[in-house]
Amino acid sequence: MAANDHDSEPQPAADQETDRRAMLSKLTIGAGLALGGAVAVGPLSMAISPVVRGDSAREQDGWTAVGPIDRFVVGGAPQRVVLRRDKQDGWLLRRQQSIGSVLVQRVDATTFHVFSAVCPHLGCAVGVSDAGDHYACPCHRSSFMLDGTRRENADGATNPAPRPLDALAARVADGQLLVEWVRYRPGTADQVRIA
Amino acid sequence: MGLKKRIDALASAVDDRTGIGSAVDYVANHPVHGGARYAYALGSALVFTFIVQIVTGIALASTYSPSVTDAWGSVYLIEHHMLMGSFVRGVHHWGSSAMIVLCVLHMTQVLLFGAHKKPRELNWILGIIMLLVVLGFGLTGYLLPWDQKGYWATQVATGIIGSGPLGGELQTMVQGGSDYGNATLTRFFTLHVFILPGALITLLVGHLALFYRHGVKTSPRAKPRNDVPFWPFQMFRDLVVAAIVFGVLIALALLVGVSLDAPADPASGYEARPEWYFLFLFQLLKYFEGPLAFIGTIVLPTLAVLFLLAIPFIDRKPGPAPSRSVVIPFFLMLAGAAILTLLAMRTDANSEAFQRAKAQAEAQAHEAIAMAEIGGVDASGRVTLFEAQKLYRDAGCASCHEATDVAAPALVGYGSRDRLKRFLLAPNDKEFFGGTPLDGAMDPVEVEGKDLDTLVDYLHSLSGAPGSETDAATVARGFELLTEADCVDCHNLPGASKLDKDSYDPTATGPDLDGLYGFEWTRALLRDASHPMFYGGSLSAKDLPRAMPSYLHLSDDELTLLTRWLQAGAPLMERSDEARADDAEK
Repeated sequence: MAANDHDSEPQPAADQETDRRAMLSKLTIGAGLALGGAVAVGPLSMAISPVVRGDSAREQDGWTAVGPIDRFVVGGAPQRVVLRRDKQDGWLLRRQQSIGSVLVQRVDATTFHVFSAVCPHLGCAVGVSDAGDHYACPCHRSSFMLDGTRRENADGATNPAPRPLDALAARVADGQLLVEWVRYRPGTADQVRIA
Repeated sequence: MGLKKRIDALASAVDDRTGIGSAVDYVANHPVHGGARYAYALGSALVFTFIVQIVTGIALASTYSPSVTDAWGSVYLIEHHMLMGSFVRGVHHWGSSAMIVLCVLHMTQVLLFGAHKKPRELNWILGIIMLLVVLGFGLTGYLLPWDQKGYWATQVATGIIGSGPLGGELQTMVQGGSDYGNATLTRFFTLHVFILPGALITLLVGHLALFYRHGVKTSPRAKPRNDVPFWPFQMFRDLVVAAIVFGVLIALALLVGVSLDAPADPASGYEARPEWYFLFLFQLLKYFEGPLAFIGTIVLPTLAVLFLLAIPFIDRKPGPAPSRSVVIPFFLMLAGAAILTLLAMRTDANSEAFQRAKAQAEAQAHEAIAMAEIGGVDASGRVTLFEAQKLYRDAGCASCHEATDVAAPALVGYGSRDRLKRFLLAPNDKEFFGGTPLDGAMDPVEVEGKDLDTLVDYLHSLSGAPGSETDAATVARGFELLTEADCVDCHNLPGASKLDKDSYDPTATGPDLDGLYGFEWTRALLRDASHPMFYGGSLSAKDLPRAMPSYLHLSDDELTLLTRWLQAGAPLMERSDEARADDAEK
């Protein structure tokens, strides 16, 4: 055993030996940490890759066809429409996947009010009320006027939405309604775009 | 030093309840008999490399998806898009080679030090079993990317299983079916990430426990030194060797890397080669043709393993040194494997056919990845543009469209605004109809300036392809220009219905403009370009043999593939190579 060796040697040498062992210990700990860190760099980089390189949903935003404008009646009740487009999902390009839904109301021949159906409260899917006169979220009683502003619930229940519905840009081309699909972070009073 | 006291108090409280401190002390102070040596670091370098394989393997498994549709795509994402993905995959790949090399070195050293002898026989046997498990890792991991290389090389291995006793049933079990498919990948994946690691960790615990029981064995010729505690004297040396191993892995991952072949294609031939550490078995196979094949595939490897397992019992020589009765056959075996490996490599290096096949496989890999970059991997796992490009060659399109002695329009940029504009201004240029039976069939468009751009924008929008949309004013003006520029003299206008005799003229010589360059238009053109709807009206009977043939025999799926490929601008490799060169310049 090492301890026995020490006993048989003069005191100063034993001190030196202790010093040597302490120093080598520190060196070994340092080298071990460095090597462990080096091994971890690659795997950790892969883990944060979606943050640094952008996630697989990066191509989802942008102008998306909603449908022919004829399916919306001027002055009629708003409709919830599912948006579909080719979606880059991880390594796969999935064609015509639903990417979200929008609330559409046709105001006149060429004017459309389009809102994201993602509830600004916690991200549930907002729908059109049965009477077609306002928008309502089934999860936590968020409620909105047809112009997207917050609405008081008729029975006085709290409307938890921190902001109005998120309006989306819309335009008409070749008889088709197009919207610019943008996702905003739910739960904040200000609109924060999800990059 | 209040803080230090508190930490010490906490440490001793934890130790009281867990005994962890005493366990660490036991390992740290465990004496290394005969002094710390670099010679003892091989075993711990193996443990270190195994840890590297676990860490990188977990990182890869967090993206990899073991299914026929997803495997190649997910590896492609790791290799070409994820931060340091290529590096991690490279370390994991070369880590497997490092495991094999270190195993063989460790085994050789143990034998030369006589550490297989009584009372360490069991630990030698555990070591041999672990070597087999490590080889199992290499075999199962090779298939996982589901690329050509892994697919075809692994076919050989499962074929060998099938040739043995109970072969058919065993092969079906390993493959999860009579043929390769999703179940093969999930089974190989399960073996690779659950069963084999579980087995290796269990065996390693036993191996280390026995090692602690018996201690290290010095070389019989080494000069004895004083015993020292494991920590830090031996640990430091172990770390130095581990760092060297990792440095080599980093260098191999960065400088050599690991290729990803084109996606597995059961229809294509492939000159399959296993990973280098299996090449000796591959070579051995060549000497036992036909009914004797099982000698090379099963009998000799089994005998070799049995010999390795029996070494401690054959070697009865007293004293610490190993007996020649095992050392000589052991080295003969090693030398045999090395010679077979070199022979296999030399044969391939000297074979023109193999080198050609290898170059072709590399070109295909390069092309598959370039096409995945442009058009992605679709939900059925196909790199659509890559398959379309193969079809483009197989169907014979290239024999005119890329030929120097036959005139045919160049396809690169098909459907793009630029190509359309060039075509309108010079339809009889060599790039388009020049020299073909259609040479002169169309006059250059005599529209200039802003009107030309409007006409191009309008015609471009007729395809309905994403990004081709235009505004109402352009549509209105563009439609007028079709009449003003006399297009209407030869072409049926956009919107002309074949059911309406007033607007649709079946004898029009030029192609219909409705849906120009769109999916349906392009698909119909590919099917039968000589249809009156397209160029039939401009071709006389004697022109027909020189004109584009009809492709009525292609399936719906094949026509759709080619159409999508054209709509993506016929991304031929020349162009993607140029684009890559441009990117490199930037």
